[in-house]
Amino acid sequence: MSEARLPPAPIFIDLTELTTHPLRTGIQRVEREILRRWRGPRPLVPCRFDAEKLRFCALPDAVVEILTQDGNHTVDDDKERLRTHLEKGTPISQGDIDAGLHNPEVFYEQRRAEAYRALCRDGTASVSWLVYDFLPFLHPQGWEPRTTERLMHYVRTLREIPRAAFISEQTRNDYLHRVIRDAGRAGPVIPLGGDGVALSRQEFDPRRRMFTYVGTIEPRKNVADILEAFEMLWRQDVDVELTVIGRMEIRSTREPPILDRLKAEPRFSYLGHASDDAIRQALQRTRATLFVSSLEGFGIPPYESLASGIPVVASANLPSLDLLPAGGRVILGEISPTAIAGAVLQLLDDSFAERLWGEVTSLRIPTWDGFVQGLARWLHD
Amino acid sequence: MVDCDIVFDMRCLQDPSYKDRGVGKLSANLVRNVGSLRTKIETSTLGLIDPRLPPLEDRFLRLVDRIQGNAYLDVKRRSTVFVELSPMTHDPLFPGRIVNDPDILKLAIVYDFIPLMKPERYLPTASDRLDYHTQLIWLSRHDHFFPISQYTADELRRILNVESRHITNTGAPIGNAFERVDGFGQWGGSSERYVLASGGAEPRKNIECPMLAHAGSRAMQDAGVQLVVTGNYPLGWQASLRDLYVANGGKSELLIFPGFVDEDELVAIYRSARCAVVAAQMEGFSMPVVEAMAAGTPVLASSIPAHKELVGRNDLMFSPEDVEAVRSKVEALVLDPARRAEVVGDQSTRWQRFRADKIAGDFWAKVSDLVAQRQPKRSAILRGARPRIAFLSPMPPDQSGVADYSAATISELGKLADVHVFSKHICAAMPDGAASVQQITALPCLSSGFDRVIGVVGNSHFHLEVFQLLERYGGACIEHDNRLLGFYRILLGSQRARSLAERELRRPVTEEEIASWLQDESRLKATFLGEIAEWASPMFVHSRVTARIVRERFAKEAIYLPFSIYRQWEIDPTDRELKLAARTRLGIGSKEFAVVSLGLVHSNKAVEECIWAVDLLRSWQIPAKLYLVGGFADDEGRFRNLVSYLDLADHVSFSSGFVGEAQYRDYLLAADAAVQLRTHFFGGLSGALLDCIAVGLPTVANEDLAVAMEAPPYVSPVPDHPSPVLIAESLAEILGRGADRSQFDQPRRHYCEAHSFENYARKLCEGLGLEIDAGRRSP
Repeated sequence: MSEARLPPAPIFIDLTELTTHPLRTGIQRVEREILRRWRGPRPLVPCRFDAEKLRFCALPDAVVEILTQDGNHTVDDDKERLRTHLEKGTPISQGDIDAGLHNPEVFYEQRRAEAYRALCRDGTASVSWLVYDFLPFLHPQGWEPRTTERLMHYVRTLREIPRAAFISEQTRNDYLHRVIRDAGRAGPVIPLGGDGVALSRQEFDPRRRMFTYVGTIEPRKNVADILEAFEMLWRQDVDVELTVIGRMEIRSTREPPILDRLKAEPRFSYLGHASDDAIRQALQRTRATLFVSSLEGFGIPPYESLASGIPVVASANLPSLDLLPAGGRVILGEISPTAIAGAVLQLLDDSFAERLWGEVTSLRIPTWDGFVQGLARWLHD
Repeated sequence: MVDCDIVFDMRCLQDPSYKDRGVGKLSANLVRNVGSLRTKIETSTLGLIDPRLPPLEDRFLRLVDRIQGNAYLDVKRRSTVFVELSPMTHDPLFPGRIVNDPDILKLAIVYDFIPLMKPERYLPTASDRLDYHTQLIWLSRHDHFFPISQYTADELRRILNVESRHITNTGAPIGNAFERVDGFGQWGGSSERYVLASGGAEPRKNIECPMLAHAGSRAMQDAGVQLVVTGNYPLGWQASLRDLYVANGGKSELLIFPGFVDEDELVAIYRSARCAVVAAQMEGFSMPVVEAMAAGTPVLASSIPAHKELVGRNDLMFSPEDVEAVRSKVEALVLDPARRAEVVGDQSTRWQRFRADKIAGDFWAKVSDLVAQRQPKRSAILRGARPRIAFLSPMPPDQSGVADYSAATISELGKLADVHVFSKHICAAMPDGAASVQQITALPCLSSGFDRVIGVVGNSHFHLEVFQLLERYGGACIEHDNRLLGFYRILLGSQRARSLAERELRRPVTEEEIASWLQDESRLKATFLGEIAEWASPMFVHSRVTARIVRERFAKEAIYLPFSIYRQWEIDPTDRELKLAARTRLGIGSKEFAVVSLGLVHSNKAVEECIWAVDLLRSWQIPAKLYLVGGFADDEGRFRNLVSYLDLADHVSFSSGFVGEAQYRDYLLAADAAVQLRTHFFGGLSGALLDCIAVGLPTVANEDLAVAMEAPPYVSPVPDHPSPVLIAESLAEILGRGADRSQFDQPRRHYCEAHSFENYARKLCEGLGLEIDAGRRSP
């Protein structure tokens, strides 16, 4: 008599934040890619922490379907479509959850943190977290005063989590040497994918005169320096164009007046928040992208630029670029309009630009499939 | 060429009751023409204004080089002339310090003493009489007087016994429009012949007299000669006068009240009149008499002294009660063209001496002579005496760090100057270094006995009296705190706090926003230092950051003084044996990493973040314990709950009550590290951090505080937005460097020297413009 094979135990994935705020950027984008590209062999079962029941509850498969569909729905649409399914969540038994609970989210809610701490104290559960960065803890000036204290539940819980993976070496180093200081719990670095734009690899064309910035406009991104650099170049009659794509955050004070005075500048476009299609169209005319942020948890736009074959002018120490071998980019030691303008002038030199475009072709940029496979391997380990 | 500062009391030009009347016109004319002095004397001009009065209009503002909201003149490097433009109309204490200053040449324009002539009307109460006589006393303290008429000069001699050599007659200037009368045509208000009666809404103008004369004149009534009564009479008063006029035979249609008219229209009214009648019972000077003459209109005036010197002919004068005389004299002028022409001719030159430029020219020529003749009195300091300083401050036993700080300041300052202390509460003993100690009053602000007045201000109720005196009388100010939110909102009210914040931030500020600042000072956007910066001369601050903010936000220069160490040590606070002994006394284990945070326990010192940092340190296997050395200034439950939640009861210690001096010092000796944080910025300071620095205790402080304190290298800065991770990280680094404080001895000694009260007192004197001769130091 042959013994019936048991189906592989599921791995629960904690989507509490995503199912409450189904956005498509940042961490929520990572979560959607995990759901979309997960290939097993253990099934990935969505769950959420129910703050009233103080339990993790499994969610129906329909939740995954909603979260992995194309971006034709608004956030409010998705919220409404998810609402009924969230109510159908069923508490997960201790035995089931012991088999595997993975959290790919950042959260600061005390009760959820305590639930994780209780699981970890018990010692039987296979709990794992994907850690993005520690920016609010290590660079608190970028946030409102007294923010960090409210976020400490995350760190306090993280130090109890037996398995942690990281999206960058920088984050792993911060975990090991600054925040948690426990090597025994640190897992691998699993780089995010750079192929999210889904743009075919671009070829160098000397007729391309456009530089593009993609990302939010907030103080640490130094977009004002980019704008002032191009103002300098235009005053010198340099034949170059600039396109800026991204929504303006309320804390930005330098950029609005510059954007205002550039309204009549024909060589400049500001698209605000734009669709993936619009980004693709802009990149198809781009000679190089610009990304000169002072502070990043990862820095995906330059990564995606290189994945599309387009060189990038970037600030030093971006965790995303640190994962790659050299080439295909101009790195600025100092971020200033003058330094940015200098890099743009370099890239307007056809032979220099062509060399950089050539270097990009030799770079192997991690993909989202690779990221999810790496995560799956680690979770199955 | 002599250098000279001319200071004007310009309050009469702020006051709607005076600015456009005779007082204001005379005053503005003198100020406007101060330039005529500049051919002989290099001058700068300062206008004193009273912030309690309406703002000075631009037309007056631009007459002087600068204005000031009080009468505190600090460093007088050259001759100073004070011109009191209207000595009897406003609070005489306001410029009291100047008027009492023997080094300043004080000049007063004197208009009249009318209230003394009719006290039952003008000084009806004992209080009014006392106030008026007080003003007379202040007036008598001027050096030279400029009465506007011979009559007023005589009164000045009679009432105040002023010698003639201290009196120079001036006059009231005629309006500019009267000096170009040829350009004016007929008055449009009446096409008929009319007599002009000059009045004003004051009984002493005696308008009834010419009205009765006109009403009773059959000749004028029959001939339809109108009576135009100038002066801005209220409608009810006009009606009563009209009733009186009609009741005495006047035709109502012949009586005209033009009401308020501008100067051009007034000229036209004069020009078209057959004659003018001025019947006032009391005047110090009579502008209508001069105006009529300038307009070419014959004028009849009552035979009061001020009129006599202007008119000069008995046949053109009358007793103020003699209606018949007025009627006959008016009829003669109206009905006899030859008589009228003769009078016009006679009066055509009498007014010329009241041209504005002549009056101002004569005035400034006399001032020039006075300045040249004056033997400058050498100030006490220049004569070699020690400076005398009035020091207004909370003092022990007030439970205030500022009181302690002032006591330490006076101890050293007293070696350089005679320091007279004025405090709300009488000190139990004479403070070390003080020459005297008295209860605080306005006296030091008015007395000329002090070379400088220093008020000490901070963000607590202890400073209210000093603040109020500074507001009214000015002075130097040592501003202790980087923000005065609590002081303004709680002691002065929400409206004033809001208005000040709006001016500082140049945007609307709601009551809710201010409430949110009070609740969490990390959200604070305004310093509330604007008024102090405006009033103080100079303003001293203990932080370069605050000085920069004052410059950027209020366009004022604040003088930086290094915040000085007022907890002195007779022993070597870096001695390891003393540290071990202190740890034993406090029960601190030898292996424990003892972290202290000194001062009142309040959320605005990031106490929660410090507790979280202890949690992290312990998770890093560091045996940290946090000692919060000070009472609670905030809800203690939130801190205790957090400690309990994090299971840190054995690793966070709250003080059980008041921490005595000995215990406080033990903690400073015993600790391995300190953490002193502020969540409000603007260059705030910390006495506790100063204590830590003074004993060489490695300390974690936020950047704004560390920069403001000019902290030495053994203070580790963390970002102003507190992060438990970074606080813990810095503490761990301190532990890693080792506990031996002697490694910081050189920077510690250097800091202590730069932040000594000896150095502080010297810099304070420099900032006050007091040149301290080493030979005058007392031991």
